[in-house]
Amino acid sequence: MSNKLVITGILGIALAAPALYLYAPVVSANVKLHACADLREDGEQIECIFRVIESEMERGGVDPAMRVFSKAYDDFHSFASTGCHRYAHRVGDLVYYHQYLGSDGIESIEFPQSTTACGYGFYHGFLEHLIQDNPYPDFVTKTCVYLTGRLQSDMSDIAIICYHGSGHGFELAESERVPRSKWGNLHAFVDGPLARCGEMSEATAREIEECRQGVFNVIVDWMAEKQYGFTYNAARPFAPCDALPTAYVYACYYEMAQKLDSVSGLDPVVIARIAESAPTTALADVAFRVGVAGIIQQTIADGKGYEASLARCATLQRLFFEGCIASMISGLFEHGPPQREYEKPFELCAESVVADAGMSKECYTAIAFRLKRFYEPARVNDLCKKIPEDFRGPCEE
Amino acid sequence: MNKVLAGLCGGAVLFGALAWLWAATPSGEVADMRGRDTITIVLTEKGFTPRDFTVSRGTAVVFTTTRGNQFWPASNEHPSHDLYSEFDPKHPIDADASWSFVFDRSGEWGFHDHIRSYFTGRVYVE
Repeated sequence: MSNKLVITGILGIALAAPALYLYAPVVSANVKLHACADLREDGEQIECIFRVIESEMERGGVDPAMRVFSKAYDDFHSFASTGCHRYAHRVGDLVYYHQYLGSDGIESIEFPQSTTACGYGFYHGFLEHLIQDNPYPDFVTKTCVYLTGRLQSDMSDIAIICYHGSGHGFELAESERVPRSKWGNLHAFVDGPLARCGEMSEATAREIEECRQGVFNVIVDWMAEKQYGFTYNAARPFAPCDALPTAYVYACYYEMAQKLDSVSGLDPVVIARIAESAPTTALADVAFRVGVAGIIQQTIADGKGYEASLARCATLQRLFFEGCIASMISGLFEHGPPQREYEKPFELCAESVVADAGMSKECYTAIAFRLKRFYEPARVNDLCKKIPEDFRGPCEE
Repeated sequence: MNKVLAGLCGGAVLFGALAWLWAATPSGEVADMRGRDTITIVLTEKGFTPRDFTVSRGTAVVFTTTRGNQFWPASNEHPSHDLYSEFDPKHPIDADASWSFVFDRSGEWGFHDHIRSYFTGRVYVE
């Protein structure tokens, strides 16, 4: 082989090396992800996707892992079709295991903007285990104050998310103390964690309420899975809540309503009927709104994600229709594609049925209030400009 | 000039192939535990040990822990355990107890500790 050929070969390697070093792993991850599409069962696909996510996390950290997460959301119906929140939880689990345990602490972990995806599910997953392993109000306060100081400018809801995740953690820790003889006894499981929620010295009333919701969120999941002696009461979903002290009833209703999609045939009209049985207007309102948002979790990956719900909502009285629109917007944001959650909400507000009902203001207002939850300030400014000027007010506050 | 271009391209392709191979190579080790009637998997402070392992169909896998806490090994996905629904004791196992499961379905089965779902593993059943 001539010397010239060898030398130019070496030059070729040297020139190509930086680009290939940077991009080969990314291309490789995409190839591995693409291979998951060959698997026929949804469960197998999800497992395959998480092998790639975990591999990317081990290689490069949270950011590349979330990039695979985002791509999986776009490319796999199975990933988005029943709600991506639990999969975001799982990424939080991975970060807790691979990056937090054995580390110098939370300060060493990166939290890219993409971790707001799927209703901040990442933080629920990460924090529930952090607090499960440290179920002390002072530790929660210290953690949430730290995360708020570090992230709130770009993730406006991080404080309430932190307290909500902590409620999860208190409940998970409590489950290890409750004897099997007390399984199915709601008070045995929630009294301690709810009391701990109230002991956090620097939490606002809203944050304490989020902590309580976190406690009940875990209980409701156990009910849905028939674990720890709990079962979801399909006939009277809110019956367990009605027996609680007044301070806890709203949080209980909020979380029980998350599962109304399973007993309503995904029909907002049925949810309105169930909600009407609540003893107060406030409880009926939260049951309806959360229930409708839960429907969107199940339909978001099909077509526009909201057509059937919008059509049914339009048959309701104006007050319910308004609540429906706000809830659909909420659901579309909570379960939408990472960092593109705004797309379907804008489509919904542009639907003629919304304008014909004179609900455009309510619709765009609901979008305006959601933007800061997911996007950093510069992006919020850009997206505000997509809102018709007449309805842009809340966005610019 | 053609030889120069050929050399540059050849070098770039060779390096690309090596980089691809490096990126594509799985990083985890899979313990080969085939051919045994019974094996033991221990949940330690660092997780399941071994974390990934291969067994023959019909092998009884005994799960224990050294963590001093309850644990609940079960099939993915969390929390429904529906990918291999029999692979689920349906309740926590006490810290000083064990739980045994016979894997009689071939395939690749991710699992986790239901109580601390960040502890995960994978069993390949052949």
